[in-house]
Amino acid sequence: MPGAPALELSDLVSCYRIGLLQRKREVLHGVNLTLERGKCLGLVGPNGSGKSTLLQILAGVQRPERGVVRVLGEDPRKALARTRLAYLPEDSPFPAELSALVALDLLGALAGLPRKELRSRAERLLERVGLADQRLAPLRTFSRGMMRRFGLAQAFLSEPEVVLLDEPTAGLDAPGFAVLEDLISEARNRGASLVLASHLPSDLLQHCDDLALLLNGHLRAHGPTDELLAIKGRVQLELEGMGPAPLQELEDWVREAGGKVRSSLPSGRSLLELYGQTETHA
Amino acid sequence: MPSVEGRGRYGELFRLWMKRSLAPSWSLSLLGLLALLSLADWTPSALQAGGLTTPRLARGLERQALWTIALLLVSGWTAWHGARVMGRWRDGEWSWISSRPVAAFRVWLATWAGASAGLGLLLVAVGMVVEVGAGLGAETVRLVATQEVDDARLEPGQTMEVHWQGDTPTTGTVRVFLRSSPGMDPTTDVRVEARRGKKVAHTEVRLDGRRGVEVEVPTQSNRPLIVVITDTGGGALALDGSTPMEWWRPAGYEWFGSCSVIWRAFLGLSALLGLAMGLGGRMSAASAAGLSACLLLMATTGDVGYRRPWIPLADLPAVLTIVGEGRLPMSGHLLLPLVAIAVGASAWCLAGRVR
Repeated sequence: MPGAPALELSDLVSCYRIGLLQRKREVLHGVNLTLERGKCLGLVGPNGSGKSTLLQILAGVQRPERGVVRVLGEDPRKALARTRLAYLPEDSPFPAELSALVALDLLGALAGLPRKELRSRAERLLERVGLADQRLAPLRTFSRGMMRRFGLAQAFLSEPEVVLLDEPTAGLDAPGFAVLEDLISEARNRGASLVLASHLPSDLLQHCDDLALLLNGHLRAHGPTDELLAIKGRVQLELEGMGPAPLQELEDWVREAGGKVRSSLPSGRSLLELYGQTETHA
Repeated sequence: MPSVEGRGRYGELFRLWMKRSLAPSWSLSLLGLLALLSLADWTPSALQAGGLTTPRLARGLERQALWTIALLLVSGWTAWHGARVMGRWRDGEWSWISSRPVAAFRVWLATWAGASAGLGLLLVAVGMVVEVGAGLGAETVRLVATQEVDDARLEPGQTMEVHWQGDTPTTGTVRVFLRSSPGMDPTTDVRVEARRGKKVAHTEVRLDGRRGVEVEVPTQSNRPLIVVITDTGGGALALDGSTPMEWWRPAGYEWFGSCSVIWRAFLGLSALLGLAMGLGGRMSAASAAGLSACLLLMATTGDVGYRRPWIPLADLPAVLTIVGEGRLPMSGHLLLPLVAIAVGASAWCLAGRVR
């Protein structure tokens, strides 16, 4: 449906059935949420807050108990809507007996990708996520981080318009993190909408236009990331090329001007930079 | 751009489940075990001692033994394999399947068909091991038709006639099952005649317990067939109605018997697989496998096979017995493939929603 928001949730209620008597336990309580096209939403909250359930409902994996769910204006339970979205599940439950390449063939075929394109895309993505050398190895031999990279490859295989990533950074090493950031940036550049669910909000904050905070199945806060996370009257500076004496002078000046220096720590090198340097020395 | 109408969408899923049915650790162990067992002599010592064994019977008994062991193992494994499907889906696989533009029922069909195809290939491999062990064998006879008979008792000197209904046997042999009645004299003699008008063929045997007595069908006559049984000995005998009267005709080779077993087992186990998959949606894998195994036992025990040959697996024990004699069973019931497909596909309703 042209012009419809990327995601639209209205009074969404979801339940699990537990025990022999299949009693209902509500895990999402009347969630209302909208995400405009081309935006990136960070879905944050502690473990058990309902993030994964929400993503599963958006991906059409689970049926909500009540409420309205629309992805690009369509019900995600309909196959048509799911041609335009991709989903990375939390636990990477991909068929362990298949090689990475064959598993991507399977996942791409289920997504309806033409066979001719599929193999070249799969090869390209495996190269990109750093699994080209392991493309013929069974997934059961993959480490957690490698499995996550594979999960990213399958999520971006069909160039989806909506990408739902559940804990995408879990188990990723620094180069893997860079791959993820690269894939997210590329998806954003082609106008895709993203939802990144994480219990560590700091992970991917710089990519998120909006932030939604889920607590015990309730949507407690939702809005632009800057507004939600900014602390009024506080800024963070990163300085380079100053010795201890001018730095001390700067701090004194700040105090005289009525301000307060809350932290002054040497900036650290990123792990990726450290890897690069070590490889150069080697 | 992905599409809803993508061709071959479910083919990869079919292949995945076919591969899972042929997991090397399971299939190679099974084939290795059968290869080892085929080295043993499966002819009972009582038959050997009595000089009653023939090469055809020895080959048949080996086929029967190996197939029985193989089918017991494969049936149990099939029930478990099917029951685990929904468990795998619930444990996470459903998340990458159902987030794709797929129809849930077609996913079910592709999964079931793929797992069944793997099972079929496994049965073919088992058949090859069995035939390598037993030797392919010579030409033999096939069961063409059966006719229900009522239990009847004959005292010494008494005669009874059984009229063959339906298509009259024109060639080959007819077999009736008789047993000497326990009493003062547990053995007796019997004369069995096959009459077609004026043409008569007969055989005379001594009965000691239960046995099938076979008589040639007179040819060159278009008259109906009447089987006449006369108790010519000193003890009573009984016509055993638990097994119907059989018409046998020369057709095919002994190894066709394994083909019959493969076909029937494939259809039956596919239905069992679907049933176990469906039950797995409602209960734990262990409970679903157990319940499926119980249903399998109900279908294959007793005389269900002869009475309801359209029930998948029901006639397999009878077929194995026939193969054990070095003979060939009747062709499978025409409804059998349809019933197997209907059970496998409709078990989807039993499974309910995964989430």
